[in-house]
Order: sequence, then structure tokens, then C-alpha cells
Amino acid sequence: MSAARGVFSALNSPYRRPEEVEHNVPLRAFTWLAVVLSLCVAARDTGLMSPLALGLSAVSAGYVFSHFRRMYSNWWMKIALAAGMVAAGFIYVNQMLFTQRDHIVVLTEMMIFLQALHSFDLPRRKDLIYSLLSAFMLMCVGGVLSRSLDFGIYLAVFILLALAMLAIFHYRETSERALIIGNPRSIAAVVARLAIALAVCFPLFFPLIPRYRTYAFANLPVSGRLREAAQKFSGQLMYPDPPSAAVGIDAGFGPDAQVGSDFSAERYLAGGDAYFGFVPELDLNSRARLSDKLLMRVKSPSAVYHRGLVFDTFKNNLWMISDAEGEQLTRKEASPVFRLDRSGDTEYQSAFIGASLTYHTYYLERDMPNIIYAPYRPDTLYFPVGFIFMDDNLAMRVPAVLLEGTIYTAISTTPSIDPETLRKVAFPPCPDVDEKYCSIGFMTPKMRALALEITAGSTSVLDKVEAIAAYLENNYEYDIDAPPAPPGAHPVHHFLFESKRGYCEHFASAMALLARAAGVPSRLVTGFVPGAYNPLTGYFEVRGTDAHAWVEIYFPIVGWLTFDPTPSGPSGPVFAEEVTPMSFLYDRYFKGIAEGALAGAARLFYSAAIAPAWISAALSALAVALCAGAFFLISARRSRRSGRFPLPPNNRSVASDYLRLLRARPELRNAPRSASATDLSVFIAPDARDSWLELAALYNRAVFSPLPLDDRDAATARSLAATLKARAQRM
Amino acid sequence: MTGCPRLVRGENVIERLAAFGRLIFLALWAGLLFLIATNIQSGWLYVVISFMLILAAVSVAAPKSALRAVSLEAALPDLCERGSPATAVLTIRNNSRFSRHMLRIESLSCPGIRFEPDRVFIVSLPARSSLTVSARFVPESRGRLKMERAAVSCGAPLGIFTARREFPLRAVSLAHPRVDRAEGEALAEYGGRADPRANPARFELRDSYNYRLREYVPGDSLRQIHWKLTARAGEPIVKQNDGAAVEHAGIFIDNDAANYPPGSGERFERLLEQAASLAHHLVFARGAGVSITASAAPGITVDSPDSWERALRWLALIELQSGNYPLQPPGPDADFTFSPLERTEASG
Repeated sequence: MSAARGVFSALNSPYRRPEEVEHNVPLRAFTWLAVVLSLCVAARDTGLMSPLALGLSAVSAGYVFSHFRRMYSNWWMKIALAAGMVAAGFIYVNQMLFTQRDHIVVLTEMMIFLQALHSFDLPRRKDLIYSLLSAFMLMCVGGVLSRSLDFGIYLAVFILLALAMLAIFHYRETSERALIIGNPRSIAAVVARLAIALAVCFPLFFPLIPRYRTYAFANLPVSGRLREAAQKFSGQLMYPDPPSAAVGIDAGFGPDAQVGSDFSAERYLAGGDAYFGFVPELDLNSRARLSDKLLMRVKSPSAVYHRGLVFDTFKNNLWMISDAEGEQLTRKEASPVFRLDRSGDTEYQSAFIGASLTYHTYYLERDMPNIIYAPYRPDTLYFPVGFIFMDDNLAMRVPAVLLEGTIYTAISTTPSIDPETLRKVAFPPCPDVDEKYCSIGFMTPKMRALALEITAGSTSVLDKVEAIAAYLENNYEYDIDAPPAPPGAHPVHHFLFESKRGYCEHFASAMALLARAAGVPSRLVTGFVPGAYNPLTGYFEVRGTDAHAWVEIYFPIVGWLTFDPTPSGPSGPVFAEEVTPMSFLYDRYFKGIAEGALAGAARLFYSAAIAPAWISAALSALAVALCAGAFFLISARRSRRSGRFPLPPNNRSVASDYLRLLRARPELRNAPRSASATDLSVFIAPDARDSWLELAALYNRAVFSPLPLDDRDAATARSLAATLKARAQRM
Repeated sequence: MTGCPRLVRGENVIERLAAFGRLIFLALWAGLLFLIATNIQSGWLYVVISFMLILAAVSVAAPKSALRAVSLEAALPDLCERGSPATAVLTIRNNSRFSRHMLRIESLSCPGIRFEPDRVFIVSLPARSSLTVSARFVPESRGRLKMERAAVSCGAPLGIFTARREFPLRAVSLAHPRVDRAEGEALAEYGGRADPRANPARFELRDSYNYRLREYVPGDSLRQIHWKLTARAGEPIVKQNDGAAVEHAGIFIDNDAANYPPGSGERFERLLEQAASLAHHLVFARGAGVSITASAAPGITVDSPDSWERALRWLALIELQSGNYPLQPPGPDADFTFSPLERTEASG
């Protein structure tokens, strides 16, 4: 019995420093809520549902345990927690080194585990702060993984909880061993004001933070290995949604499809909202209503066109891919990296081309065809398959349908060249380029004549291409409901000379064929435009309606450059322009301003938007300094006793007597005093000291007291001021 | 006219850095997140960094702005008793158009004045208002007490950065020795030491003091025994105050520093306490006039309770005197002598 009693007392030994124990329940409650929210957010995007459930239960139990056992040493629990943390570390290292699990997922799982363990040992106030810090790290993990705006709601709630917790923490810390005056409930007003300040200042701070891009990490984002299709893959296209069997064709383009299946545009019309530009033979008479569904999110530093398929041959009124199978590329077994270097290729190598490597990560939100979308010119690919196929046009396909949740990264070399320099590129180029890009065999004579007529007088490649683009923009209308060409008719001829309206495929086809007729190599590309940029998440959101067709033109020495002849597209060669929140705001709100003072401000903003990151950093620092300076200036003016606020008559009289006396006595005004001295402590001659002190005290009451002075006080002040003034005059 | 608040406390570099500790911690976290964001290009991390920067800016600006608009005054009671709690009045004013939160008045204690507690925490101070706080303090030393300065700190809203501002104060007080009525009565009644455990208040009772003699009866206190007469008579003779009114009594205090061993300042204070207690009893309970003299200070006479405060002030200000100060021995009218020296033959 005594042994049991001894064990019981040992297990319940008191905490050594009881003065450090925190007893405040709301503080613990807010911390617990913040931790729970962070666990949910972190687990949401990592798929750690089981660890989340265990973690929530453990954290809740731990907080209850910590609260009710806070006055005990709980040495036995600390030993168990230490063992648990060692085990967690061991498991973490093992998973990082010997498994293929995503490192972020492993790290998040370990942090959930540690947070659950730590929640059982929270006797002191600072332990709750450590818990909040861990929760903050989990929220950051959730933010890194989140690609949508709903994370903002969780972040806002977390911020409110953290502010409440920190405000209570500060209150408890500063009111310790102090005489407390006031109601603690007014802390809610402090939190509310701070939340408003955060909300108001955020739109100013957020765009000003410079966006540097270093990519110093070794591994770029890529999802788990895709299960490759069972049949022999030789570069054929595969689709997640086979066309409807009701159309009558048995062999569709599903995962088991073979190249060469009978496929027509009608299948797409009946099949729904699939883009007809992602088939081996592009028929300009195909029609489809593309949906606005979100297809993928792209993390990219710039607005780039995402290439899908490249058609280089126009034959029998269809665009085709001459190298339909392509070349198989493999990678090292343990690494998802494909090096796409093509030896001997000198594209973008010239010194006058500002080529740079840009990183683009694709997060698929829906099942997509087995096409790898990437900007031209792809250099390295991080993809979760064993091998890929790449054709002569550097378009890539994989041996598996891309399922929702697939993540891959493409590193491309993107050019930047001054158009005037480009204009100096020599012409003609065709004899040096593959003949298929210059073929005009399936063009009507009228089309060839039109091409020569449009480009007559143009001496450079760029001039010819710009002339064709201008001609198309000025003479043709963009119409999504343009009727198809009659059966058997040349669709491009019909567009150029009969209907004179069409959509992106028509404009691109017309430009490609007219350029060829003018002797400029070209090819047709289908893919996606950059999509809508979300300044908060930093992702481009690509939807079904962003499917597009454009043209690539070959420039000798330089290489292939992108042109978009659709009337809504950019003029001239399309280069990747860096997009930041600031440039996004400019394009949306300031670009349209054409005149006046606002135009000057817009130009300034534009300069900042496109400036290098260090200029943005300098501007942001300057803006912060200006705001801080304005704030201090305003607060200093308000704290100065200027008497501008309304005072009762007697108070006003006393204040004016005092200030008038002060003005007449510069030696008082400028008397040496310590930095924080009040008027009552200023030096004054001994014989006048009492009068001065009395007058200064009356002034303080007149200006700062909520109560009005009476007539006697006003008369006393007048008398004192007169006495002091007379004494000064005698001296 | 208001001065700039000092941002940090501490005189050396380490202390100053420590005051910025939390702000540095916040900045390091923001820097780390920025480093991560430049690598992985996460838009939400930039959002978090923005909030952290705003929080840092508000945490520095808000306390500084709050203290600019604040003023502090203090008032102590004119006279207080050493060792006994008294009340100081602190008036803090908010001259701003905005309310101020979580202000802390600290460093109230100063030499000779111990505040309990040493700080006052004000949750909220409305705009353009003043707040009067009664703070309890205990004078730990006798004599002139002065609150020279106090500090107001503010770390609102979250305590990430705390600004501090010192205010010079002109609060003065005079602390007199502790007056113990019971001790005074005992001293006056029995002519002996009221508390044998205290420093000996050696005093003599002049024979002309009104009392009567009688034989010892069991139960009488030894302090009542008149030893001289006992020696003469051969049997215990007890002196008993017959309660007759005493018109005037003299109290002598030895404040010659030469008579006090080094480090025995507390002994002198104890003597003063006993003298004060005795004088209080004589003035208030017996209705007598009291003359208080000292060996090295001018004396004071208290004719009635109305002038008792003068005596307290005198007792508050008397100090041990050393050096070339004219000394005067106890006069013939010193009924009570308080001195650290051994008891001398009673006069008369």
C-alpha cells in the first residue's frame, strides 16, 4: 500500500516553478484552435487524412491533459514524449532516404506527429508560443501546396486566431505582478484594429515585395509515377474520354487505341467539349464548344504559350504531323529528369538573343490527353514516367493518359530579342530548312498570289510575317460561330476569299500557309494560351476556353519564334514577359489610362512593373519609408499641444495666457531640459518658481483634463501670467 | 514639448539587442520564408510575408506613437510613516485622439520607496482622458522621499516590440518614524524598555515625575520596581504612576554619531521610533506638552495635538551628526533620554 502511495506521489510530483504556469483558459483555447486549423490545412493538400485524424485527436487530448496537469512535473510524460520525438526523427530520415514519397508530404507528416506530442507538455506560456510557431509552419506548408484561393480563407481565420492568442499572451505577460486597471475584454478592440490595419495595408505591401527567382532546390515538383498504358506505345495520342460509341465507330482514341483509327470531326461534336486541336489530323471544319472548366494550373514566371501538338504538313485539307511517332527518350532509373538536349542544334544560341531558362510547373486539375504541354523550346523535363516520345517539332507525348493530380515541370529556353535586330535577319531561309515547312503543294493559286501580293516590298522575314498578320487583322473577322467550308472545299481558301471570318485555327492556318507561299518556313501549333493569372497564388489558371492555335515562324540563325495572328493576340513575335502582382495590377487598372497626370503615374507604375527585381525592392523600401515617415509626422503633429481642439472658454483663456507668456520668454521655451521632461520640471528662477509651477499646472488641467475650469482658475492664471511677465520685465 | 520616447532600455549593446529580440525573430522568419519563396515561387508565402512585414511595422510604430501622447504625474502624501503602507496617486493622461491600450507604468520603486506591486498595468486608456491610479507603497526609510522618475512602457498590440518612456516626477514626501501607541504607553507607564527585544531605548525617568510608591505585591511587573529605593529599603518598592496629568515632559535624543558604532543606523532608527511613540502617548493620551531635544540638533516643543505634525517632521528629519557640531547633553528637564550609551545615574 505504501509502495503504491509512493508511486502515486512520484507520478504527481509538483511542478518546480509554479509561478511560470499559465492558467488562462482563453489563451489555451485560441492556441488549440490555431493548431487544429493548421493541421487540417496542411493535411488537406498532402492527402494525409489518417495522420490528420490521429493528430487532431492527440492534439485535443494533449491540450486537455496539459491544462489539467499543468501544476505537476509530469516527468514520466516528458520521458515518453522525448522517446516519441526520437522515433519521429528516425522515421522521418528513413522515409526521406529510402522511400519515393514526396519530401513535403513526409515533412508534413512528421510535423503533425511532433505537434501532437508537444501538445501533451504545455504548462508554461512560452510553450503555447512554441505550439503556435509549429502551427504557423504547418500553415506555411499548406500555403506552399495550395493552388487555389480557398487557402486565403483558412489563412484569414488563422491570422485572427493567432492575433487573439498573441494579444492575450502579451496581456498576460505585461500584467504579471502588476496592479491591473481596466477590463481585459477591451483587448478585443486591439485585435480588431490590428486586423483592420492588416487588411488595409496588405494591398500596398503585397505587390511591392520583389519576386526573385533562384530555383536553388535540386528537385523540381513532380508527382508520383504514372501507371503507363499496357499496350505498346509508339507515340500515338491517347485520351481520357473516348468518343461516344453511339457515333458508330468502334475504335476510339482511348487508352487502348492504335494510331490510324478512323476518326472524324463529328465524333468531337458529339463527344462534348474536347478540343479538336489535340488530334493527329486537324480538320478546320471541326466545331466544338469548349467548356470553361479548369484544366490545369501552371506555376510560371511569365505568360507563355503552352505547346501541345505541332502540325507541319497541310495535305488533303487537313493539318498533319509528319513525325507522328517521334523519338523515344529515356531517363535514369532513380530520377524523373529527362534531358532534351539535341546535339548540334544551334537554336537560340546566338549572342544577340537574350535566351534564358524558365521553369514551368504544371498541376493538372482534370484528366488530359497524353500530351506534354510546355513552352518552346523545352530543355529539361521532370516527368513521372519511364520514357517519353518527342517528335521533330519537339512536341512530346507520354505512354499514359495524364490523370488529375499529375504534376510535372518543364524547363524551357525562352528567347528575348529586339524586333529591330530581328528585322535584320537575312532572307530567303527556305533552302536551309526542312522542305516540309515550306511546302505549298496544297495551296490554291489564288492563295499563293495573295501571299506574294501581301509581302511585296518586304525584304526581311519579320517584315513579311508582320505584313501577313496585319492583313489578316485588318481584313478578317473573328467569329467563333463561323460556318464550316462546304464539303470538299479548301478550308483556308474559303476563309480567305469567301467567308472572311473564322477563329484561331483559321487565322493560324492562313498565316502559316501564306508565310510558306512567301518563302517563310512555318508550322501550326495547338495548345493553350497562358490563362488567367492569379496574383495571390501566383498560378496561371488554364481553362478549356484557353485552347488555342498559333503559328511558329523560322528565322535563320535565330530559330523558331511564336506568332499569334488571331485578332485578340499580341502583335509581333510572342516573347515570354515576366508577370508579377505589380505588373498584373498595371495591366488591369493602369494600362488603359491614356492622358493626363494619371498617365504619368501609370508610366511610373509600368516602369516599376517591368523593372528588375532589385528596383522593385528599392521601390518597396522607399514606399515603406514614406509611409512610416508620414505616419510619424502625423502622430507628431497630433501629439503637439497646439490647442486646436475645442476647449471650454475658461480652459481656452488659461491656455492662451500660458502660451502667450511662453512665447514672450524664449529662455523658458528653449530652456535645457531632458528629452522627456514636462513643463513642470523646466528650470526657472527660484523666486518665480512657485508661480510658474502653479500656472503650468493650471495649463495642464486646462488642456488635458476632461473637466472645464471655473472662473476663479481663469482669474488665477491671468494673475500669475501678469506677475511672471512683470517679474521678467524687471529683470 | 513632449520628448521622444526611448525605444529600448539597457545601456549596453547586448541589452539593446535583447529588446529587439522578438522583432529580429520575426524578421528572420520573414527572411527565411522569402528565401523559400524565391525558390519554390509560392504566391501564398508572399502573402504571409506581407502580413509579417505589416505586423512588424505596426509593432514598431504603434507603441512609439502611443507613448508620444502619454504623460504621467505622481503625487505622494506629504507625510507618511516609515514601514506603514501609504498611497501614492499616479495620474496618466492620454493626449491623443485615439485610445491607448496595454500601457504599463513600471519602475515605480525608488530608493526608500517600495511599491507593492511595483508596476501598474492599464488595459485601456480612452482618447483625451486621464486616469488616476492609487498605488500602494511602503516607505522603507525615514526622511525625505522622492519619486524622481517612473517609466511607461507599451508593447501593444502584440508585444513584439516594446517602447519605453521615462517621465521625471516631482513627488516628494516625508517619512517619520513609526509610532506605536502601545509601546508609547508602556514606555510612559513603566519607565522601562517597552520591548526587551528592541534596541535598548535607554532613558531615565526623572524623580520629579508624578508617581507613588508602594510595596511590591505579587503580580507586579519587574519593570515597576524602583531599584534604588528597593536597595535602600531592603524590600521591593514599586513605583506606580498615579495617573496624574503631566503638564510637560522632556525627551532627549542622542544623535551624536560618535556614540553609535559603525553600521548601527538601525539602532538610531529604533530609538527614534520609541521616542516618537512615547511623545505621541504623552501628547495625545496624557494631554501633556512635550519638548524634544537632541544632542546635535535644535529642539522642538509640542504644546498640543495640533502641532504634533511639527514633531513628526522634526523626527523625520533628524539625523546622526558627526564632526564639529556643538553637542549638548541632556538638560535637567529631560524626563526621558534615548541614547545608545549605558544607563547613567538618574538625576534628581
